[in-house]
Amino acid sequence: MFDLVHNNRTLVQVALGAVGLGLVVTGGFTFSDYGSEPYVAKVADRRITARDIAEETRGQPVPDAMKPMIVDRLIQKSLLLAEADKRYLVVPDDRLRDVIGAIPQFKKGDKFDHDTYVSMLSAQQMTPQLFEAKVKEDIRLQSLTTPFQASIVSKVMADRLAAALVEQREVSAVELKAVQFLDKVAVSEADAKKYYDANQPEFKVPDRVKLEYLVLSQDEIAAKISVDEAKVREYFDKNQSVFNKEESRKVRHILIQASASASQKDKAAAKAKAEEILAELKKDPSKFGELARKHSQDPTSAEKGGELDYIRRAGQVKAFADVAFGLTKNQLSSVVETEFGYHIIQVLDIKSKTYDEVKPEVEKQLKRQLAQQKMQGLIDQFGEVVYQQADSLKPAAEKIGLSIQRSDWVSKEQASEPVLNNEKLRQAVFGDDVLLKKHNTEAIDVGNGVFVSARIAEYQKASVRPFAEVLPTISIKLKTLKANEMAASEGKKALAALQAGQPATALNWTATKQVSRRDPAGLPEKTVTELFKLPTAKLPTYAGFDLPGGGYAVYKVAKGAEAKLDDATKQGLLQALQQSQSGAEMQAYLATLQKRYKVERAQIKAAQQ
Amino acid sequence: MAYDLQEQEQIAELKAWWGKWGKLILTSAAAGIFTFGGVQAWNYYNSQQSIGASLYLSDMEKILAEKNPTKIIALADKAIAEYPKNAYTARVVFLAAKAAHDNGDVLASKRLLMWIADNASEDILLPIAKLRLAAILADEKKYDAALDQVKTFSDDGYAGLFLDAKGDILTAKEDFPAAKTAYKEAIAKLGKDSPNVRFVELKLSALETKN
Repeated sequence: MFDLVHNNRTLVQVALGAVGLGLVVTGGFTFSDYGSEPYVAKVADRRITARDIAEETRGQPVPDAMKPMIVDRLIQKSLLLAEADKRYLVVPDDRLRDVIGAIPQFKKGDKFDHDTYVSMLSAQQMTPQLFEAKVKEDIRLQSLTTPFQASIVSKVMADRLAAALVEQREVSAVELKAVQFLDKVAVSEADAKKYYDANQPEFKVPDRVKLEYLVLSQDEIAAKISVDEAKVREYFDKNQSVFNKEESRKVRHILIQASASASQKDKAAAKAKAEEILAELKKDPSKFGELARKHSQDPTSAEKGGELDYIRRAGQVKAFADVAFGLTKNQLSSVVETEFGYHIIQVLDIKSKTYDEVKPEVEKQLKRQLAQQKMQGLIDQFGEVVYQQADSLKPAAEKIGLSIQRSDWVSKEQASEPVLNNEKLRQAVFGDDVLLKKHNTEAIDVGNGVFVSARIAEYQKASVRPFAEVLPTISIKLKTLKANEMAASEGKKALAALQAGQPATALNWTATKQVSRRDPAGLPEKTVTELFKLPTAKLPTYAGFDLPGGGYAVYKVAKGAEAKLDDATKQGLLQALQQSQSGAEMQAYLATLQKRYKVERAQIKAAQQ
Repeated sequence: MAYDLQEQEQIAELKAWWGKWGKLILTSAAAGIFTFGGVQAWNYYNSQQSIGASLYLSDMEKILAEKNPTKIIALADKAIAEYPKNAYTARVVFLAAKAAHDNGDVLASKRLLMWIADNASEDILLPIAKLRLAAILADEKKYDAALDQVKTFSDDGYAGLFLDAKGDILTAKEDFPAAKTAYKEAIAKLGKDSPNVRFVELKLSALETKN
């Protein structure tokens, strides 16, 4: 039915999947003030941001054409949540506990296991707080839409429809396919020429060129670099923090709130309070839990003595992460300012990866860095040579050690080689300097650390394909059209004769078949619909329709065999009707909500840029 | 400190102004404070009600599988008695009406749906209750009562569904030309994306040979 209403299993997948991509910036905190972030749509007070889209698509890139659809879905979800708010559909803690406790992924044996729960979530960079908020949201959606699980449809109507579905007609046909008439029709060259003249745009070929080009790619340079083990090790040691972004740490903190927009005075007061707590902690670090419970303004962690479970760097606010991932175990931080206020942080445990585990990544990173350093010099050189010696690519190829490649046809709109399929490059190629003066293009950045310079190897002006070249294509096309017409006119003649009751001779009837709406027995569905519209007062009766693949068919329709209507068919149809009714009711409900809440859409295009 | 003439004049003006408006300002400020407090209290009250009423929904979900209509209907009636205005109650009643219908207790099903139509505070659910009542009444051959349910619809969102239901009732009543018209209108209103539209087309096509 309606896919907003996940069952619990998909809920877990969605929640874990989405967050596994490090899209959740709030991390351990339970604030969600994205007030200043640009939004793609706004429903009542709810903003839908690029972040929501990324979360909805689980961080996978989606084509632009699909984005409006995703935004629509998020709007629907927001509408439902706004309505749930309005109707006070709150979720009591007991209910939340029951639902999460029943999720099989979090069970050890047949009992909910808190450690499994926390570690499964933390493996996806998600905190219990955040997950619980998501589950709550889902329960609210499910509760709100409960009435749509319970559609009631007329049983009498369902039975009537079931009867209509299985009702049968005995059908045979004379099929006149276009192919059968192909050798009976002729198309003269004059006919073809007439078509050619009348349909010039169909035969147009745009301006196009073949290119010679050089590709300078950072990845290729990186691949050619070799580094020895000692260098890799050294690089790893120097950049621990980068490679240990997989590292997770158990952290506790005390927060004194002061939002970025708070007044200087409030900020100073909050900071002073945090300093005061820090001083007390320095005297007796064992009081951390007690002080967190008493003073911390991060409500969810405060009651656990400030503990945030295992967190990863990727999920955190930067200022927070920098400190939390810079501390040694058990060390107290000084007062840290973030957009949420002032924190005192302590690291309780560190889980990190070993050198061997991350070695391939370190090596790759090191090579990339070396390539990057080398690249800057090469780009300058490359650009200079192709510009200074603009009449050939050879000097640049020799100097930098690249080989000259040749492209297939490239038009203003597209190129088949991915590196050339870049708008800036295509524009340069069709510019006067390159096209007319036959110079090299400059070194153009086509993205992903790839630079290209190209020159024209062959140029073909926009043209219309010559008649001789397209004559066979036109001939086939026209012949098929004519054959179709001929099939239809033969078929209609035969139909008229049959309808007039004249003896039908030389018609090649197919074997009779029992046809029903449920089982079209190989006939096109549209044809079956039409055949069942024929009056049944006087049978047999005749009708004719175009065949989908070209041609025409005459049908003879006679009284069908009595159809058996079994309970399974009736029951199946009733269920299908209930389901579709539920879906349609939900649509109507959403349409009504859409009118009741203010829905604002930002220009999606602008938001993407 | 002495005030100069101009200042004294201003003070006098201010006093006169306060004499005229002061009472009003004070009362409206007080009213504002009361209203704010009222809203808070109202929100609190409703949330508390919801916590209680939500238990009925989770209980209902648990007992539905037992297929015991007496128990199901009794639970819905209890929710109605305790939390008549709460949104959770309307949901409990919808589930009970469906269960009663599927277990053959049409009378109870109608009674529960009518309670929603008459009492539920969510007007947005009213059309859904009506559509279901119409289906039940049509099956009881009470065609006019059924038609009454779907006669008027103010909300465009539901128009296609109401016309579809109207077609069903008229078909059952064997008023085929009117049924065809209703189905045709329904198809136009439902739009291509509606999951129902294929069925409505089928219903219409099954009427083609009937006059």
